[in-house]
Amino acid sequence: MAYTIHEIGDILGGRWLQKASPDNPVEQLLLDSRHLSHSTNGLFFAIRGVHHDGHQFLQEAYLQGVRNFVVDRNTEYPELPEANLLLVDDSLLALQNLAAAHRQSFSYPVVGITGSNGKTIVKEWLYQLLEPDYDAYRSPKSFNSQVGVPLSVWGMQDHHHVAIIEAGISRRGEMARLAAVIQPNIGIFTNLGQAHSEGFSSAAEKSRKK
Amino acid sequence: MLQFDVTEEAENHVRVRVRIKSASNAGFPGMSFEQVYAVFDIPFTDDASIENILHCYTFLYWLKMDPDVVAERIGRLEPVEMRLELKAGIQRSILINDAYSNDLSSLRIALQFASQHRRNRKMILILSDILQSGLQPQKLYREVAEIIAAFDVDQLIGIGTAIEHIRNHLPESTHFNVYSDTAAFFQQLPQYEWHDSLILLKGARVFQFERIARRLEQKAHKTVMEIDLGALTHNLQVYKRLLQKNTRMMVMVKAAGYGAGTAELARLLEFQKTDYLGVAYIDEGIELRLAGVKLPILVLNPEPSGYDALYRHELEPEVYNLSGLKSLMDFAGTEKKIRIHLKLDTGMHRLGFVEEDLPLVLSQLEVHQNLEVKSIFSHLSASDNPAHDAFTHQQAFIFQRMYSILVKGLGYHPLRHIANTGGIVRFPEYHFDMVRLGIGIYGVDSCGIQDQLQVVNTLKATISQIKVVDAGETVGYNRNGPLSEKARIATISIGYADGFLRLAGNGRYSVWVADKKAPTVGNICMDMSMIDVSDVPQASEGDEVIVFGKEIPVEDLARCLQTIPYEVFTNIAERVKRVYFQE
Repeated sequence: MAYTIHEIGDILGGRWLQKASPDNPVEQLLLDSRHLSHSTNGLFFAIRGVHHDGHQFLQEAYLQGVRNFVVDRNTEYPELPEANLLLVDDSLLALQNLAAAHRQSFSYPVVGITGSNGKTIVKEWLYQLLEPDYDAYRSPKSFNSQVGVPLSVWGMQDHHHVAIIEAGISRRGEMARLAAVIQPNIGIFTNLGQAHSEGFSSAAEKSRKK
Repeated sequence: MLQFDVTEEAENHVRVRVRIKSASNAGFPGMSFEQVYAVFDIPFTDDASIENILHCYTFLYWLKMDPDVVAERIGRLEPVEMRLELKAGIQRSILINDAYSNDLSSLRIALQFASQHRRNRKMILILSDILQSGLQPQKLYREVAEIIAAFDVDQLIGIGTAIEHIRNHLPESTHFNVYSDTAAFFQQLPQYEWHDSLILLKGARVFQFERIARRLEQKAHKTVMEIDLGALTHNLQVYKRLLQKNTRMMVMVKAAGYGAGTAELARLLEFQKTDYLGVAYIDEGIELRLAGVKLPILVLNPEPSGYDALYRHELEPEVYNLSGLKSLMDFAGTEKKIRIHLKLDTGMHRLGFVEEDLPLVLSQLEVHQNLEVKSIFSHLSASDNPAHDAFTHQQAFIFQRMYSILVKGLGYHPLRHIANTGGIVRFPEYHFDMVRLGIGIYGVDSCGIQDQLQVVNTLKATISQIKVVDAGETVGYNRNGPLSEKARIATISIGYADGFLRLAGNGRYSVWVADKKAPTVGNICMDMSMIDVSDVPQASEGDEVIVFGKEIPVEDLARCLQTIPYEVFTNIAERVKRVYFQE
């Protein structure tokens, strides 16, 4: 699957603040200006987190060659003269929507794994069990958060036969958002231990969520 | 619906019978239909592994995979290595073994982890063919080459038949050798120069890179302190969540990071965009600079003899009295620009200016405009103790008053900070411009948020020998307490010279062996101790013993040693090897 930044704009909606080169191909999704390796064909999502605001790092990313940005702060960006700049309501939601749209282009089975303990082990073991005759995709290491899951899903490709995606949840409402991204054909709930009980009012509520 | 029953439990596997159950729908309520679908063996015996495998089994059933194939593959499952670990390698190298998976995304993650820890080391990547990427070799290895170039890999050792495709895409600065299989490389391995390099092993499972890892690892250190960098990051976030958005954070990494080792922590903190680091001595600051840490660093006890080094390494001294201020001014003259931090004594009565000093401080600083007051701070004596809250409020009040006097005289607003770990949790009203996080980041709290923190440090030793000792015999120096009955005694590789003090001896403390506590027996020796493993029959020589960690909180040992966790951590001897890992 290859997308141009123009096509991504169509998927996400939003408003172009600046459109320098609409045919730019997008392969990598970038969130962190410290981790840029494929900058030129990357798309940087400026996400506002609890501690950092991705908008603070736009220039740093630009200087490393990034030319495509999704932002949710409606302002001027004179420091990014030659960039494609898409303004959306919520960059995190846009990232999740893009991953969800990407997910829909595949018809092979997608298994979602969630639970308190053992997610990664089940994922790795499933991969080992399938590997001899399935071209299986699995989410990299611990990419299981609200931003990690979209990045995981983004790695799905045409040639795979099955995808194994891990999802971690720690707060109410998170599962629904991740489920919308993963759209699993089948779900695995690993044991609901005590490891992540903060943020849930009761064990019963927790198992209902899964 | 599948029903699983464990029908046989052996030492190293369990046998599981699978039945398919379906409710009868032919009008016989309560009747059900069932048939045995398969029997298979699980090569693990712990509950968690069994449960995880049953999840996998159910999914493969749903995929309609042949049950015989499934049984055969489950029989060959290997434990999942979940973490990237930094190990000491031969010739003072650092080794990262990620020889369990090999695809583009995990390669990128491993290289990120590696470059976070390389400092000035040469980076050697040993990489196998990448299997099942679904890409044409040309395109695949062009991408791999781009990743390698982005992380400045100095030397690439390729293993396999396809990786040759990478050659034309590599930057010229990357040395490249290729071997058709692991055995061919193994023969040449002694010819290589590994000195002071960082070696990343990344290979698909079939290439059996474990063999290479064993060869490159330095012989295991028997007593180690493991530092969980993931837990450290988690704890940092827990405290950050307590701050207002614009409040800065300084992390104290003095006393070798409370025993955890400084440079690795500092690099992680820099990566996490911490604002400031605090160290006790100039030497500690220099060590960080030499390790490539660029964050601003506050030095709490700067000695005048070190001012020159302090200046050259752009360290920022605490100034706490008039004579210190004078000697710094003598060194700095009116030219050298130095950022300083004024320490105020508001009731701790350790270091710091008192209120009467302030007019003189201001008049001196007036002359030496090249000394920029970067921050003004003080220290709370009892921020974690509600009994002294009135005193804490008084300290804060005095601090504010002194701060105003200084600001008025200086004409600018240096950063204002007084809250330490306890203050962060209990006194949000005194966070001001910055807070200083100390022991909390290492997972120790006394203000009610312990359950949100994760254990960072685990102290481990090894069982060197086990013997059965008869009743009436004594164990260790001074023949303390004859054994009342026959006992199985294990000698472990840790003693008081490592920081496991004599107060822990003679049964006053228990360590964790297999999944049980085992008490000490007799006196703790300098390099060894003896424990009673009579109740832990599975304990055997070479096994790992946990002195403190997740299983036994460090507070237990602190209590036994009649001290506090700070002292336990900082007492762990330098000879105890530090191993850093990240899940």
